[in-house]
Amino acid sequence: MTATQLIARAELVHLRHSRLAVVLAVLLALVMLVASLNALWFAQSETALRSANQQAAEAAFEEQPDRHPHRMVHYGHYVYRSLPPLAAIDPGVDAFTGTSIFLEGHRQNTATFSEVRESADLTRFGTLSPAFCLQILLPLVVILFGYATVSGERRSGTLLQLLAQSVPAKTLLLGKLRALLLPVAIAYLPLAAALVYAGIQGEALTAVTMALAYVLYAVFWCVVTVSVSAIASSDKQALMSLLSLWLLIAILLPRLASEAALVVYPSPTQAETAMATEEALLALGDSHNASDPNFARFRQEILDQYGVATVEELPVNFRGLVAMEGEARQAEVLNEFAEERMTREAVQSALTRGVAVLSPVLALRQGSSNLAGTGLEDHHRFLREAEAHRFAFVQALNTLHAHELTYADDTNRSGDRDAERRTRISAEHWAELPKFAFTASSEMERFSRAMLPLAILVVWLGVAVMLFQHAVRRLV
Amino acid sequence: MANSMLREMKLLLSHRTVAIAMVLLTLLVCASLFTGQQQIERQREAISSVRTSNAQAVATVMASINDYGSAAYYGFHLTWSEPSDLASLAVGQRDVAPYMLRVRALALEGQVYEADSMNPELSLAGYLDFAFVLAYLVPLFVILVMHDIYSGEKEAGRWALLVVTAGRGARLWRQRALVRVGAVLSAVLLPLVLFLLASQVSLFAAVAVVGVVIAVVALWGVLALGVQRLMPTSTASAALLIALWFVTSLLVPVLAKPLIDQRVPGVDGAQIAMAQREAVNDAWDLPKETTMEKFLQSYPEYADRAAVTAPFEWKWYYAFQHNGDVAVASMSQAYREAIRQRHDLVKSIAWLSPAVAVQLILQDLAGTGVEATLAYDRQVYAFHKALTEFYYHKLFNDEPYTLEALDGLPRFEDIAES
Repeated sequence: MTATQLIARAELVHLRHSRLAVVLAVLLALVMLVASLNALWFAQSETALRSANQQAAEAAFEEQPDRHPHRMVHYGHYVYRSLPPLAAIDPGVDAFTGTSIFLEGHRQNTATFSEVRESADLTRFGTLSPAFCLQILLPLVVILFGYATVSGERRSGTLLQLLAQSVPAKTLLLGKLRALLLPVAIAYLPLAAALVYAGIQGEALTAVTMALAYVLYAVFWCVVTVSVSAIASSDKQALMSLLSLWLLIAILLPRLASEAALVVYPSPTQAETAMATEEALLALGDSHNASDPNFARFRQEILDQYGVATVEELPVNFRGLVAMEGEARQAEVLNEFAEERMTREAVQSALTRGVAVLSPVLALRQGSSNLAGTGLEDHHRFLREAEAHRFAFVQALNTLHAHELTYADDTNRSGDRDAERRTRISAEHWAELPKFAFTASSEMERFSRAMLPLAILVVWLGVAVMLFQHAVRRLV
Repeated sequence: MANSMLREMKLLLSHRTVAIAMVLLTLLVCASLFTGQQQIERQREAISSVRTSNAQAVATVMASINDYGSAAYYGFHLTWSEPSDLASLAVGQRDVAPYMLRVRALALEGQVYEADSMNPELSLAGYLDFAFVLAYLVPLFVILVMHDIYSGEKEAGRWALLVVTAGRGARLWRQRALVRVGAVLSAVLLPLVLFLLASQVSLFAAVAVVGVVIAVVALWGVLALGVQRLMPTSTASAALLIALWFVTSLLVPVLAKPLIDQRVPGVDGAQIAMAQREAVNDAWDLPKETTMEKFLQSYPEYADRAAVTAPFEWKWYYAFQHNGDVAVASMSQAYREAIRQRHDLVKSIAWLSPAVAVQLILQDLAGTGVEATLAYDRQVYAFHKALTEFYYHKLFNDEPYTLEALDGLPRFEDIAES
């Protein structure tokens, strides 16, 4: 047995005799177990719920009777955001975004029903996800375990004895570090199991990277704890310094960073955006009204294109064409607003990500949610895909409107019951419309997005190692 | 007596860690007051600017149309929840639940769940308000200064000496504890009281907030004294106290949430919106008499004016919008009931977690908690009811459209106040 192993073993025996350490270890193991089970339960029930809802929404859409196609544009469709496998470990922004969007013609709705609105009081600090436990809770437990690991020896006078027996300082600290890593390793077991599960589901690259990131992070805290304990003049100083560090980088910096982002790049409220959007849309004219002056030029272009003099002579239903043209113009305006918002959010987040340089917790959080596919980028991806789907299905209906209905029937349908009946097209069309399936960004894409935050984490680990070396030199 | 207190104070300040901690705490409290104030100020400004611009937008729309059906369709009326004077201390739900909502006379269930478009990554990080500092961070500072009242001196070997020179030991510890508690209290209360004075909150509210601060400091102070009798060293006491803080402040809420969710399964909100959508859309294909009959169950007073002859009439249109709301009323109530029941369970969790209790109390005082959100929600329902009834009256009686008559539109202010 090497000297390092001996020291580690002695430290573990010491920890086992500390009632507080034992209680904490049991608590941590328990929390991690519950968190993992909860994550598993959440992943299964939530995935099942969302896919059931998606199917129910599709079934309801397809079961609609024969109808005027524009009625279906207003009937609309629901899309659900499916969860990537690693979301069980790091749900990221999922609880704050809402999970479904209602898609309809002429409008872009926001994702509604975010979970946090339904149970906000207890989620202020975080939720019981393995990610939260490992990011925030674990460091505190490491600190409570290890703050006295060297300073305790100093207090009881055994430190000098050890060094006098020509135990190298480096060996001593490495032994202490090793002892501290063992309980941490136990806390990581559920995570490892969850990651294996994700790996089986074809997320090997991101799963392994995520495991690595969390291990680096834990090693960071262990190294810092042992080093500070060795440098500090007393137990108390070690405990207080470590606690302040945790408070600063895990609790305060993330909050101050997001507040700063809101001050520097304020977001308009939903009401303000909605009003601006409506105003812009109003200027486009009413695409339900084929003789709206805003569509006069479009009418002339169509007439020229077909070489006819009046819309009645067109081989297609002019009202349907106007609906298509109107929807396209509206989508352009709506996308402008949506892109503006997403750009602002990206800029706000870029600011908080800059702060990650100061806080390994932030760096890990970003890396982790990016790997899981639950970060801001993937939320935006969902919004963009939902919008693309909205536009595709509305335009498919408008195409039916233009080609399956005659202009005469369409114009007379509010006065003539037979014409009204003829404007109802067969329900078989509903099943032919495009289907929605949200695909998270590719593993490679998520992996490369996580690289920068993880690089910051590695730099922090380097800083910790330097601190460790400093501690070794001081002991000698 | 005064002399020995003074000595304790000097002693405390000569303790570098403690002095730094007190400065840090003061800064933290100031920072939290500032960020809370910023957030609420942004909300106040947004409300006042949207109130003005929305009123103009409504006026413009109303002038450009010539019938009540279109007025009801295009007129978006603003509802809002004005933050109280204390809201900046405990932002509560105001960062996740909408505090402004524009509604029109269409089915409300299709409008009321519209969420504000916040940057979810920023919400995830959480925010820093006074309630957060008081609930989660102040206990740590109390632990910091109080964990070595007895044991620190014992460890330093001065205990016996101090007891002998200071006379009765108990008095010495009492004075020391008081001085230290006083230090934490003044670090928190000094900026807080200045802030409360500047923001002109009511005396009752100010006293209540100060009371909560004193309670938090007293609770952790007493705990710190108790723990020291059990533990051999001051550092061991500190570690146990931090572990206590960890369990009550972090673990209990985090573990309680999934339990509460299981106990009170949430009503899937998206299902309400979807069911409402179905009900409203089906009405286009139903015989108009069926729709009107159903509507008359809620509004029998229009029975002799409910005949619909044209293929499209606004009163029929709004009747089926109303029916859409009625169709999902029970789901919608269950949704809110679930939120309320969960909140009740959270309240019982507060007995196990002082941090949760502090947040709930401050949110209650500030009117920013779940109950306040539900109250605003009820106001929106009441306003929508008044709005639709105004238009039903005009539409069913075929009143001619005049801008003057629109002065009779319900005002949200009146409903929010009553």
